[in-house]
This record gives sequence, C-alpha cells and structure tokens, in this order.
Amino acid sequence: MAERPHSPWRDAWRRLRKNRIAVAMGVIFLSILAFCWLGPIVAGWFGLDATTIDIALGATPPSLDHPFGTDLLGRDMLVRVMIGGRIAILVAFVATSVALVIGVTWGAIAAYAGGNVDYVMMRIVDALYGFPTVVFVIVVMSVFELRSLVALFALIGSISWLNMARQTRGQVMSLRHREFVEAARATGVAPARVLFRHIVPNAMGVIIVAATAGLPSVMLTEAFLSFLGLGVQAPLASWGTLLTEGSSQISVYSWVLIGPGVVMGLTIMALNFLGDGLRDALDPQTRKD
Amino acid sequence: MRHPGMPIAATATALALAGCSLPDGEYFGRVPAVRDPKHLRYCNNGQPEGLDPAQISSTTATPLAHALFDGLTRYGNDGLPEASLATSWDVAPDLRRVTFHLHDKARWSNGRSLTAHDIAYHAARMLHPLTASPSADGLDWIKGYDLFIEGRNKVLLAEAGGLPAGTIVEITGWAGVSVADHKTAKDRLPDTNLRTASRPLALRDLGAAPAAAYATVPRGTQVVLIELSGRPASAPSPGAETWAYVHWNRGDGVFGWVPAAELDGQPTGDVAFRVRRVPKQQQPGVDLTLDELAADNAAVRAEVDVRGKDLLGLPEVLGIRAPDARTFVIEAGDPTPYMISMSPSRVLRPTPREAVSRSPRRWAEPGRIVTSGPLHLVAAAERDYIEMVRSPTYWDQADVKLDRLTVYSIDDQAASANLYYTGDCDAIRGSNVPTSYLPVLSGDKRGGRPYADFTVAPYLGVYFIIVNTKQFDNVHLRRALAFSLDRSLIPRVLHGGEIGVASYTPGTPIADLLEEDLAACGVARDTPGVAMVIERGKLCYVPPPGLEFDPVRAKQELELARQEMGPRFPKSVLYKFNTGVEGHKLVAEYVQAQWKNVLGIDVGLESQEWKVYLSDTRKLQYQTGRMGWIGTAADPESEFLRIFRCSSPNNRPAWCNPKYEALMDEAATMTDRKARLAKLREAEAVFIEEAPVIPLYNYTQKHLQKPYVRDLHINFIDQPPLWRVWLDPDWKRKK
Amino acid sequence: MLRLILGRLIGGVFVLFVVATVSFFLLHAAKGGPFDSDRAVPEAVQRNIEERYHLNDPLWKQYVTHMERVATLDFGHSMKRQKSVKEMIAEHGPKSLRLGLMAMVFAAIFGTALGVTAAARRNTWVDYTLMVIALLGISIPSLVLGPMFIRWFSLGLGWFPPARAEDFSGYVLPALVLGMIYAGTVARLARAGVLDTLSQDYVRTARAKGLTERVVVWKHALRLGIIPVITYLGPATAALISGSFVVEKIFQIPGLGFYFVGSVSDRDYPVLTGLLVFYVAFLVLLNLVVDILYGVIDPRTRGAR
Repeated sequence: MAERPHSPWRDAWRRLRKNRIAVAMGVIFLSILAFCWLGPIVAGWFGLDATTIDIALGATPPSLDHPFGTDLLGRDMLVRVMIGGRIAILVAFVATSVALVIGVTWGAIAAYAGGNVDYVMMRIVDALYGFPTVVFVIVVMSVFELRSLVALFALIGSISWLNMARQTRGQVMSLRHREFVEAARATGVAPARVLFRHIVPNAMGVIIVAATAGLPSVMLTEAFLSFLGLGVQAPLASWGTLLTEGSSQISVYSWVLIGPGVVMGLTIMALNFLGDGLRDALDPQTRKD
Repeated sequence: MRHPGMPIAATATALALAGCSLPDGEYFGRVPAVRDPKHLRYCNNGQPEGLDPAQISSTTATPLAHALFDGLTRYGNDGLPEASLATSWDVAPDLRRVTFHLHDKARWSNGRSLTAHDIAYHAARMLHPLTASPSADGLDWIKGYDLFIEGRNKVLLAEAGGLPAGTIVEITGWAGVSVADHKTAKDRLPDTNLRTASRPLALRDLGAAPAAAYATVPRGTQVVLIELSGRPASAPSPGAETWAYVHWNRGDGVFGWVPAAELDGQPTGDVAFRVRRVPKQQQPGVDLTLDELAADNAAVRAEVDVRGKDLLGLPEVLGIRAPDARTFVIEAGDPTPYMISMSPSRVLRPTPREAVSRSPRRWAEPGRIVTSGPLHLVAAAERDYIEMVRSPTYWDQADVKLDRLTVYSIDDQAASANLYYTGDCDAIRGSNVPTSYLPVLSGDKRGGRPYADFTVAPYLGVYFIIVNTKQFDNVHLRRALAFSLDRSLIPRVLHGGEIGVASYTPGTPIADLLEEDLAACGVARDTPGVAMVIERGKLCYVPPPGLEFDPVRAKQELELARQEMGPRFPKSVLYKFNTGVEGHKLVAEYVQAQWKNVLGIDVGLESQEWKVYLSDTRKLQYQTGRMGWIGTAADPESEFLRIFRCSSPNNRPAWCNPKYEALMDEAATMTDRKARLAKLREAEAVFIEEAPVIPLYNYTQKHLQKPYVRDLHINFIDQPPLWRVWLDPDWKRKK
Repeated sequence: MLRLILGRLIGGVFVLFVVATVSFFLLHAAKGGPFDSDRAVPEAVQRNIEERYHLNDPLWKQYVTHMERVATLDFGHSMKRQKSVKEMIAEHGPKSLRLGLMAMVFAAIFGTALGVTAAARRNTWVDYTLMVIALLGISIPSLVLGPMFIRWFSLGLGWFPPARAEDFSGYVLPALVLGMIYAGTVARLARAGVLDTLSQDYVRTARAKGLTERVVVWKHALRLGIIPVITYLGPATAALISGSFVVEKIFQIPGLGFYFVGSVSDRDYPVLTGLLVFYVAFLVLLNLVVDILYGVIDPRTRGAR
C-alpha cells in the first residue's frame, strides 16, 4: 500500500492486528481457503476425489477412509466439500465485490446529490427490489442460456447491491450534514472528492458490516439457486448444492448435511468476525476507544 | 483466547445433536392409536390442478376425481376395469364399437338419476373446443375426433349438391379459400353455431320455466349453440319443443338451455362454405368391412358449396350415442382393442351438466360440486387439504368403507415422510418419499431389514434416455450408448427396487407373475424381463428384449460409429435433465460415469428448469436427456408405442422410421388381439434396435401405510380405490 | 411531509408500471408456456387451450389487456388454478403474513436486544457470546436449520408438528427458522449502529451530563444507532410477509411464497405479474413508512428532501 505513514489504513491494520479474535478468525479463514484450494491435491495423494462414483458403497458415515463420509453415490464428501468451497467462496467474493462497487457508488451518489437525483435513483432501487430474484435469475438463465460460473457471479452480484446502496445512502445522509463535511464543502472541495474522500470513508464501518452481512446472503442466494437447480452443474457441486442435497437427507444421512453445513457455517462466521474486526479497525469514529 | 473456541464448541454440539439417527423400530415412525376406523388421513403428492375430470391430467388429481365421479367402469383393486355404472358391455367383432348397458340405480348427489345421456354429454364436453380439455386426446380414437377438435365436422341441415339433409360433412374451405391456406394465414374458422336472439334469453336447466333462469343473455348478444335436444347424441326433448343448449361468453362463461325457437338470428348464416361428406369410417352408425372402409377412404368425395345457415356442429358428428337412458354406444374409427382398458379413465367419467353450466370453471369446488361417486367433496383449501365424506346418494353403499377422507396436499417429499413419521398421515401417496430415504426404508442400510410398513410394487412406467436423432443420426452411436449402461446398478443408485431392464414397454417382472398369467404371456418363470398383463390369464404382452449391458459390443458399435461419422463424430455428449427430482440427478451422474468408464466419452450434464427442458427437448435443442412415461391403462399400443410415431407430439427424439410406421399401421387394422400384439412386438423390436431412446428401468411405486390401514390396494397404475379403505383399531392383536 | 407522501405515491405508481411491464415481457420471453407438459397434446388441442386463455393473441394485445387489468387492480385469472389472482392473494396472503409477522417480531426484538446489549458491553465475553449467537443465526441457512429443527423438535421430541401449520404451535418452528437469519443481521446492525453513535458528540454530552451508561446506550445511542436496522427492516419485512419459498416449502405452509417461484415455473403469467405488483405496492408503502420513521428519529434527515 503506497500510503503515507499516518494514513488511516495503516492505523487500521495496526488496530486489526491487535484484535486477537479478528486475527484468529483471519487464520481460520485462511485455513479454509487452504482447505478448499490445497485440500483436494493432498486428498488426491490418498486416492480421494470428488467425482469417483462407488455405487456399491453408497452413503456411509464418516470413517478413516472418508473422514466426512460418502454421499448416496459413494463419493467422498470431504473432497466434495473442498471443491464445493472453491465455488462457493469464489461466487461469494466476486459477487459481493460486484455488489459493493455498484451499491456504494449508487447509494453515495444518491444521498449526496439529494433532491430529484436521489429520488429517481432510489425509486430505481425500489423497482429492482420489486423483482424477486428468482424471477430475474430463472428468466435470464433460461432465456439467455447462461449457465457459466461467470454468469452466476454477475447475476448474483447484480441482484445483491440493492441493500448495499440503501445502507450507504442511509449512512451518507446522516453524515452529509456533519461538521467535517460542511467544513470540507465550505473550503471549496469538489463534490466528488467530498463524497469519496470524506464521507464514504466515514461510512465505511457500516458499509463493511453490510458487505460482510451480504456475504452470507450471497452464499445463501447461491444455495437457493442450487435449491431451484440453477446453481453450478453436476458433477460440480458448490456448498449450496451439497446443502440442498443434504437437507432432504438429514433424517437418514446426517453427515451429508453436517459436513458442508459446518464448514460453510465456520466460513461465514469467520468472515463476519473478520468484518467486525475490520469495522472496528477502519472506522475513524471509534479510533479513540 | 476462549472466544474462538466457542464456534467450535457450538459446531461440536451441532454434530452431536445431528448425529443421532432414526429410532430403529419395526415401523417407520410412530404408530398412533386409531381414533376413527372410518377416517383416512392421506398425504397426497401435491396440490391437484382441479377435480373436474375434463381439466385434470396429473396422477395427483385422478384418484381423487375417480372417488368423486363414477364411470361406466371403475379401476378395481388390481387396477383393471370392473363394472360400475355399466353392468355389462358388448364389443363388436371388428373392435370398432362397444355398447354399454347401464343399471338404473345411479344418482347424482343432487338426487337426479344418472343416465347414458350424461355420459354422452361428458364425452362431447371433453372434446368441445370451448372446454379446451388437456385430456381431449384420451378420446382420439372415437369417430369424428380429429375434425371435431378443429370444429370442422358439421351436420348438413338441408339437402345440397346431392348430399341429403342430416349428412355429416367436413368443411374444406370457406370464402373461396381452402382450410389449409386459412391455417397458414391464421384465420379463424367462422362458427356456424353462432346465434343471436331478438329477445333476452333466459338460460336454465332443460325444460325449466323461464323464471328458473340463472343467467339472462341480453337481446342481440351472440351465443354459441352446443347441442339440440332430441338429436341422436343429446338429451331427449322435455316436450314437443326442441331446446338448444348454448354458451354465453361472459366472465368465466355460462351454459344453459333455451327453447331453440328463441334463437332467431344467425350472424354467420351467409358465409359461403365448401364441404364434403366425411369418410364412412368416421360416420357414426355405419358398419362396413375394413376393406370397404379402405376403399371409401381412397375414393374422391365431391365438394359442395353451402351457406353457414345449413351447417350445424352437433355432438352427433362424434361416435357417441345414447339411444336410451340405459344404453351408451361408443364407436371408433379404427379397430380399437383398448376401448375397455381406457373406459375407467377420466375421459368417460360423466360430469353434472347442471353444475358445469352455471359455473364452467369453478363448479368442482365445495358448495357447487355435484358428484356421482362413492365420496362427496365438502371442503378444500389450496395446497393444504381436501375433505371428502361418504356420499349418501351413491348407489353401491356396500362398497364404501370410509366415512371421511382427508387428503393433505403435500408437494415436498421430505415433509410428506415427516408427517407420516409423526403419525399425522395414515398413508402417503405412492412414491412421495425422498429418494435418499429409500436405502433406509428398504433395509439396504439397516442390515437388510426393511420397515414393515414399507412396500415396493411395480408401476406402469418406464424411465428412458431420449436421443436427438437429428444430431445423433448414426444408429451405431446410439446403440453404443445403449449397450454401455449397466442397468443392474440402477436399483443401487435409486434404492427403490427399480426394475433395471433395457426393454421399453413396462410391466411386471416375469418372476412375480401369477401362475395363470405365465401361460398367457408364454414365458417361463425364469425368463428375464417384464411382461404386461392386459387381461388376467388371457392376454399378455412381453416386450422384445432391449440392448442390455455389453461393454464389448458397446465399444464395437462406437468404433463403427467413429468410422461412419468421421469428423462428425461427437467429441463429447451433453445430457440434459430437469431439476426438481432428486433421482434425475442421481441417474444423470450414473449415466455420466458409465459412458465415461465404458466408452471413454466425456459427458457434460446440464440441469434445466422443467418448462425450459420441455421446450428444448421439443425443439430438438438437446443431444441426450431423460424422460419418463407413465401409462394409465395396460395397453402397449395406445400408451407406449404410439408416442414414437412420426407425427406424435411426444416424439422428442424426432425419430421417424418407415418400417416402424408400416408395422404400426398394419397393427392398427387388426382385429385379432393376439396377432395384433405380435405385430406390435415386431414394431417395438425395430424401435429398440434403432435406439432412439435408451430405456433404463421400469418404475416402481413406494408406499408407506401404517400397519392399521386396511384395503388400501396398491395396483400397477397407482389408482387405489380410496373409498374401500378402513382402519383396524385391533391391528396389534391380529398381527 | 405531505409532499413526501404524495411524491412517494406518484413514484410508486411509476414503479408499479415499470415492474408490471418488465415482468410481463421477461416472463413471456422465457421458454415454454403454461400448458406445456411432458405429455404433449396434439396441436389442435393445444390451439383450443391457447384460444381459451387468449395466449394466441399478438403479444402487444396481451400486454394491453394485462396493463388494463393491472390498472384496475384486477390481475385476472390464474391459468393453472381456476382462481382469480385476487382470490389467491386473499387465501394465501394471510398465512404468509402470519408467519412473516411472527418471524419479524422475533427478529426485531431478539436481534435489537442482542445487538444493543453487545454494544453496551462491547469487547467483553458477553459481547462475544451474543455475537456468536447472532452469527450462528446468520451462518446457518434455513435450508439446514429447518430440517434440523424438524428432526429434533418434531420427529425427535414431538413438541411441534413437522409440517402443515394448523395452529400456533405449527407456526413456531417455521417462524423461528425464518426469523433467525434476520435476527442475526439485526443484532449486528444494531451493534454497529449503536457503537457508531456512542462516539458522537451528543452522546458524549449526555455522558458528560452524568447519565448512566445504560440510559446513554438505550435512550440516546439507540435512537440514531437504530437507523441501519430500520433501513434493513423495511424491505426485510416486505420480503418476509410476501413469504419465504424455502421455509414455506420445508414446513408446507400454503403461503404466497410458493407462487413467486411456482408461477414462474408454471409460466402462469397473470399470477406472477399480479403478485409482483402486489409485492411492489407493499414495498413502496413500507419504504414510505421507513422514510417517515427516519424523519421522526433523526430530525436532521428531514431537510434532505
């Protein structure tokens, strides 16, 4: 980072490092990344992969051979969870980034501009809210035959930014009349600069919390799409697909749900704590605490 | 650092809690005490799309409608037709006519006597374009069907060009343009049945006083004439006067009778039509030998110009007749051996004209409905429940064991199994159990001990892969795909006791046949495969063997395909399936693994939403995909083989084989049922060897019913006579 | 305020128009029609069916009919269920409403209490514990939580029915499952919001005046800190009340949620557009309420319009 020594970001990094729980969660999250990206390679040395079907074996509970058990077709759940994690994490991050860029820009501009611009921009958000995402996604996926991972990123991202825009707007609205903003404006700073150098960084706390709160919802959206059969294609499986499969089987094969459920839950939890840590670290308003 | 420990502790707790498995009992879940031995709580597999026999087609709705509406025949405990409204029937030797003889005990729930005229009314209603029934093609074998669906066959009211009055004619053109050209231009056929009246029309029941009208058509408003009283296939006139049954297009529509004389205006009376008589094969009441009919079909029929006022569409253009209140005659164009097999179907379950007329779309709702069956509808809430009680007017009270039937409409399989588990349902609809429960229910995962309340039975359905023969036009390629699938693995993928055979027409495993049927089928007990029993101990169909698993031949065929196709040989295969059913995905993954292992072909899978899948496979935008076909009657021809004729709308592989067509045409004219089945078997052999579809397995039905449930019969078409069920409070003692 | 309300209502009508139009064309662009099935009917039969439902009219004509209906708030008839869309909303809406309100009340009370308590005791073990609870709510999708609750509380302990909510006890599990995710988010937003305001001048003034921490947090900081929660609750309530497909399916509650997905997969055009218009109208109203609440809670935003 090419920042000056006293930049807020460097301070933030320092504070983040001091936050032990955030660090621990960061480590957990990195471990999950390693689990998902390196895990399958390691598992390969033991002869495990995500696609080999062993019909004779069928669903078996966790064992030494298959630490997470196997699914109905006898595939190893451990590697399936790892591979599924790659997709789920990728989808969550790319889609949230898309949503973050669109949402923050949209919300900040709307709130700062105010008046008719705000009015029109927020009515557009209202209008987009009106489309339950399934309609949008089912129709787009079926009409335009979009079945790739990139399409999934873009689609989920493009339907997840609305809340971000609202949150940003709400926060910017309450900041735009603060003294430091008025001061910046009074000294003739250009509006865009006021907005993105003074207001948005101050709104970052809530935005980051909203973004981390958005991550699980993106993962859940992905799971929901899988529930409708619009997620990634078999034999690939995301956590969403695995959960969908598992949810109907919990009464008979609990491990099919527990494995992916626990890893996904852990991931979301780590991300959230990390988000909290970031919030505490980044928000200049809490600096003196 | 105690904090990070917390999620892990929570996780461990979750693991421990979820880790506990289902209690290991003799029965799946709780067995509550029987509170009311005459009340069945039945978990159905979803919300029925309706209860009007003319508007339903799903297996969710049909057993309910069959309990509410009686038929000439009904599905017996074994799923084969048994006498009900009709006490007996005569089938003509040429298999083109059945005469049903009705008893006089049947009543509608409003007390009115149920007659042959009601059945004629319902058959005509099924086919009338205004009804727009999705099941209309269930009667596609009766005389006049094709033309009637398009509204093109009419009765000639006055002599014209040598054709006497009363002749049944077909419209070949109007306003100087042929029907075909009109179709291209998307013109609508002018309706010669349009009428207006110079006075308001009081729509009412046949013969009722004008004061009893339930709707009044303003004067000058167009109505459509549906039928005239006293005509051959219609209700008799109440007196000397002829009455007309008309439809007024207001809101949901309304039907009603008025004296015919009141209809004094005819908007389309002056339109110029060109007509010719229909072929004798399609004329009701005409009996000729098959050769004579063929000659008549080949003959040129002269075309005649007439005006709209001389043409009238009436039910009598169809092969249905009610010569008196106790006799119903139905006539087919071609020799049709399956007329009796199809007779219990919804297409011949009469509906109450007085209720339908008043509210054509909504009459089958509580409060409005008039029923004729063992049970009567009293309450319903969508996607929730349907409540029926014993009908006091039903003629065969001794046959009804149930006083009350509560049907829960459960569209989620896990929820259905859960409700059964907790004892909130006494029985669940066949196969409405999650696939993943089956290994446990069937005992595969319980050391071979199935639950005592779980039953697997054959089901008249076949699951197959469709192949787009326009893309995969090389027969060796298709055969390679067929030979490379080991069907014996399927029951281990799906765990439902599926019958993994490569033959197409489904049936009962030969090993499970009754002794009397073995002889009729001409097989030994140890013959592999399945057989379809059409008439107990008399008539049976054994489908030709399929392309069973043979990896060596699979590779040979693939090599042949590679040589013949050259650069067109596909590098990979795409397999599509529809979402929403767990098993489809399991099968897809099984197929993918098999083709990869045996043939070394890379297989891509694509799951699609149901409607998109249907649209893509119909428009040939696929390479391979899954399809299932469930029969409603034991007949290989009407239910299974006809769907792969060239012109069939269900021929998704777009396979069109002249040899198959010729054999099917030949079979269609045969009146000896055994010879006909033999001919059909030849046709099916052609079909199988060409492999436009790759059969995987015959369906089974999986049932859960509490040990106290009695007489909930499981039959091969899953049409249980629900009203015969009772619950045994003393089941434990009798066990 | 009156101008705000009027402006919002006019804007709402515009939004309704856009939603009705776009949803009409999107769904008509999707493959397949309401009467397609695996058992395809002959062409002539299909034509008769389409005629009956005016599906063979030119698209613009169907659109005009459709918009006329929307304008008169009629919405027409379902093509698959022999009922008017209005009847369907009247029949199924209350069930979703009941479930949604129960979930929302649970989420709002439980979530706010959790969040504010955590903020008041921030960076203590109380804070961490409460946030872990909140996070568990967010982290476990209803797809997992629903079957698990059924497994334990219904199949195992027999406390609640596993499906088909007929009375209050039937609604408990689904409402908990549905509310859990929202409660977690509410808790986090409330905590973040309160923490934000705690460092602001007027709160510091309050503190300097010698008010107890409890009064400062619950009375002063909560007032502004709750804004993100309200922003969130507005649309969340609409989403909840219009039904949740997953929870309604798992627990077999015949609410509206099903039809948002079901009408798409059935291609039941009138139902989908009717529901969307209903839903959007609902949303516009709720957002209006949220905006009014903003003004009441934080007088400074009033000048914004």
